Amino acid sequence: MPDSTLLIQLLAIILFAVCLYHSWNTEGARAAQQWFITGYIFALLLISLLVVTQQIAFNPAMLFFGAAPSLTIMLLPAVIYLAYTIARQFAEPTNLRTMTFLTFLLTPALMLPIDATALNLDWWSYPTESTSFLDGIPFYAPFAWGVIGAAFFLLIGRIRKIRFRGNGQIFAMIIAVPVLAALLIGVIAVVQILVYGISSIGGEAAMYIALALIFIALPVLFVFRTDRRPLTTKD
Amino acid sequence: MMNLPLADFALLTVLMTFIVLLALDVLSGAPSILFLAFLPAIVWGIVIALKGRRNHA
Repeated sequence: MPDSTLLIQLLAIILFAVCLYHSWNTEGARAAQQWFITGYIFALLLISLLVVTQQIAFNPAMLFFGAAPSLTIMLLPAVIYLAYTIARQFAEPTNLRTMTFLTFLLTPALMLPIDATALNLDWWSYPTESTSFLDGIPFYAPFAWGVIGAAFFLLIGRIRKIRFRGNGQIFAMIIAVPVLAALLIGVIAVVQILVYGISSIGGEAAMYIALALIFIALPVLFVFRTDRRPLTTKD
Repeated sequence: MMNLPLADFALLTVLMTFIVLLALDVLSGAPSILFLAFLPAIVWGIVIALKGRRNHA
């Protein structure tokens, strides 16, 4: 199979640029800088930690900065931004609870085709002994992507609610991001243990039920959600 | 009433990205089970069509 790593790096740069441009035009320069500067640093730290802890392995043909592929990781802030933008169709960005829940559901739905194609074309792989589906995606991966997306949104959303002077918000985000990345490594480990526990007790069938829950049941239930509380309510 | 914001930035971007991924998968002769990975995105497409109501993005 010919090396197609150039394609995913190009796709990552294009997605990052398009999302940055959109954010700049719709939310303003400050919000765009906050999301994408912080997002890139977050992705660099988190993916470096995941590579070092051997949770994910990237094709060495990519351009690397330390342990993380410096261009491919641009996918992460772009995909979470897309999830955030789609979530904004349903709720106010200041409604942290609903937005975090939606980002948790949307991020893995967007990442799953990217993951599947990445494994198929050897862009990256998951060198884990966990049980997997779709030819190599570990069952915990969609939950981990959901937690990563939701946590990053929550960080940005929460700090945006604090009234700092000048560039205080972005400085706060940059300070908080390494803490979040380190924290997420722990959370991902817990998610792995939980998923491993569920698959040990219920077998693969239980894992497919769990996947159906986040990929089908919860989004469908969201359609039938009765508006007992207006979505514009601020937390 | 159906609400399908076709001109929406995020949906168009996701659609274009997935078309590229699909084309790569088809060209590389990916196993057919791999295409199930696109199912959650289709579910969300239906959800947005039925429920999306704040089309300002």
